[in-house]
Amino acid sequence: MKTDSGNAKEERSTASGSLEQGVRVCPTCGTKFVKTAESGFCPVCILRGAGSWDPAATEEPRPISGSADSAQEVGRFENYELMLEDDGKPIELGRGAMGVTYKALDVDLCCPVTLKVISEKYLDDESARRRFLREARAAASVRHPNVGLVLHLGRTGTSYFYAMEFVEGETLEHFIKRSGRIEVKLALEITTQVAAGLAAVHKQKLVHRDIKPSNIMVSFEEGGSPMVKIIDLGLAKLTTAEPGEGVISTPGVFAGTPEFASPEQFAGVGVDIRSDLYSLGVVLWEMVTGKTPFRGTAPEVMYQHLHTPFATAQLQGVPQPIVALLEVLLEKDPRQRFQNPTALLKAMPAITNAIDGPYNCSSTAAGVALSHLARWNSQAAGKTGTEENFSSPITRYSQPGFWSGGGNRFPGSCLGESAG
Amino acid sequence: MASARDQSQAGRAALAALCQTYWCPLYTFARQRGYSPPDAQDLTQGFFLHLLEHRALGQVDRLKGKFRSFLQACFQNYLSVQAQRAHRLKRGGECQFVSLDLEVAENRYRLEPTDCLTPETIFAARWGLTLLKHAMVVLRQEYVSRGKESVFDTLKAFVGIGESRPEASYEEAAKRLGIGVGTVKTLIHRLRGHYLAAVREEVARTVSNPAEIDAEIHALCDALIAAEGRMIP
Repeated sequence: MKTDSGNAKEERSTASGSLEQGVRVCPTCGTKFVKTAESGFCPVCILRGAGSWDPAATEEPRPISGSADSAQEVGRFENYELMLEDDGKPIELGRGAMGVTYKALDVDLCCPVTLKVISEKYLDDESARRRFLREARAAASVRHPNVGLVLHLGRTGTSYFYAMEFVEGETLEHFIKRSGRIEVKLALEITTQVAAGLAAVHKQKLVHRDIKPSNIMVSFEEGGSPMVKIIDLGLAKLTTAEPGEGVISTPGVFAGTPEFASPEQFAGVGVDIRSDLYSLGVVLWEMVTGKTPFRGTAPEVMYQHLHTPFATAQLQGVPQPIVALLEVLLEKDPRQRFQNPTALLKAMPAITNAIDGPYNCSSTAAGVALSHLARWNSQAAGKTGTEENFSSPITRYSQPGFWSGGGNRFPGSCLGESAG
Repeated sequence: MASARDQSQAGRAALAALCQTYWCPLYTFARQRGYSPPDAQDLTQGFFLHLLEHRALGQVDRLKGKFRSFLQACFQNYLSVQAQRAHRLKRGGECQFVSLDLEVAENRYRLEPTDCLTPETIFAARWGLTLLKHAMVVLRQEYVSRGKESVFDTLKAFVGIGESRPEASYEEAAKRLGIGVGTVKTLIHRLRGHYLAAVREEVARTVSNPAEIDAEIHALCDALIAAEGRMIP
C-alpha cells in the first residue's frame, strides 16, 4: 500500500495560503473558524448552544427594556449592535436604577463593547441634559488602566446610551460569590488597584458614586496577578457641580446601591471622592468576610450606614491591619476618612507589610509598618486634593498600646509588643 | 445508535446512514496517515463492509460507547491490520456500500493542518463540522417539507450565535420575504432554536447514552478550538 505524505504536505501547504482569507474570530467565544458562503457561523458557539439548548428557546424574544423604539427593537444603537444569547435575548450585563447594560458589538471595528442604555426620564429637561453631557465628557476623559474607558455617548430614539470598553474577566461580585471570601493579600491588591482607578477619577474632579463589586471587573494574568478595572462611570458626577445638581438622578430617588453607599449619599448632601472611598471600604469588608457589613431592607441598610457603629465582632479572624484600614474607610464622618485615593494608596504598602509580618506575635514588622503609616500621615496632612486640612484617624493606630488592645479595641492582640 | 447495532435489515440501513454521514472524517484520518487518495477511499469503503461483516457494532459497550471514539479506534485497528498486508485488496467486489464524494473530501483534506495537530484532533474537529453540516441538511429538509424553503434559505445566514451579520441585514431579509422586521427576528430566533435542537439530536444519535451528549459536545468543541480555523466546513 502506497503512501504519499510528501506530496500531500506540499499540496496542503499551498492550499492553506488561500485559506487564511476566510478565517474569522468569533466575537463571542474567540474561536477561529472558517467562514464560507455555505457556513458563516462559529461551530463552537453552535455546539455549546446545542449543549445548553432547551425547548423553551423557541419562544418569541422579549422587547428590550420594554421600549417600543424601532432602533432598539432591532438591537441597533448607531454602529453598536446588541449581542444575543442563544435564546435570542440580548446579553444583559447588569441592571441598575438608571438603565440596563448590555454586551454589544461595534459592527465597524468588530469588537465587543459594553453598552449602557439610560432612559430619558432621568434627563427630563434641557439643563439636566447639558449637565449629563458635561459629565459624560468628563467621564470619557478618564484614562487609566484600572478604569474601563468610556468610548462613545449617543442617543437613539428616547434613550441615551454610553458605549464603554468591554472588560474581560468576571465581576468582583461573582468572584466573591464563587470564592466565599477572598484571601487578604489578594483583597488588598484589588483594593489598591481600585484606589488607583479612583485616583484617576478624582483627577478629573469626578466621583463615581456607585463603587460596588458588580462594578469592578477582575481578571488574572498568566502569572496569576490580578488586573482590576472599575467599570460603569454612568453615575459619575462632577464634584464641581452646584449643590443639588443631581445630574441623572430624579429628585427623591436615591442614586447608587444602598449596601455600598456612604452615609452622605443617604443624607442627600454633596458627595465627593471620600464617598467612593467609603464604598470601597464596604467592598473590602465583603471581600474579607464574604458579606456586606449592613444587610436588610433598603431603609434598614440606610439607617445602619448612618448610625450603627463599626461592628468589629463581624471581623473575627480578619488581620488587625485590615480591621484598622476598614475602620478608617468606614468612618461615618468623611473628614475622618482618607481624604483622597492617593492618600489611601500611600498607606496601602504599610498595611500590606504589616500583614506580611508576623503581626500576631512578638515582632517589629508591624511596628515598622505602622510607623510608616504615621510618617505618611504627617506628610499627607495638608497635601490632599480636598480643601480641608485633616488629621487622619490612622494616626491613632500607630500609638503605643493601641494594637495591644489597651483601648479594648482589639482584645487579645499582641501587636502592641512589636508596635510599642 | 442502538438501532445501528441491530443486525437486522433496519439496523443495516441505520448503519449505512451513519456511515454515509461520517465517512469524511475517516477518509481524512486515512489521508493523515499518509495513504494515497485511492487507498484511503478503498480503506474507508472496506472498513464499513468490515463493520457489517464482523458485526463489529455489536461490540459497542452501551456504557462506554461514543460512536465517534468507537469508529476511530476500530478504523485505527483496521488500518494497522491492512498495513500488514503487502498487497492491495479489492474490497466489497462491485458493490459500493457508501457513496463517497471523493473530490470534496480530498479538497478539504488538502486544506487541513498537518504539522501542529494530531490526527485524532483533526478527526474530532472534522467530525464536529460534519455533524453541524448534517444537522443543517436535516433541518432544511424539514423546512422544505413544510413549504418554508425560502424562509430557511434566506435566514440560515443568521443562525450563528452572537455574531454580526456584515453581509445581510434584518431589513434585507424582511424585504426578500415580504414580511416585517419584527417577524424576521422571530423567525430567526425560532430557526436558531430548531437548529440547536437538530444539532443536539445529531449528537445524541452518535452516543449510546444521553448522559454522554454534553461530554461529546465538549470534546468536539475542544477539537474545533484547537484547529484554530484551519478546517473548512
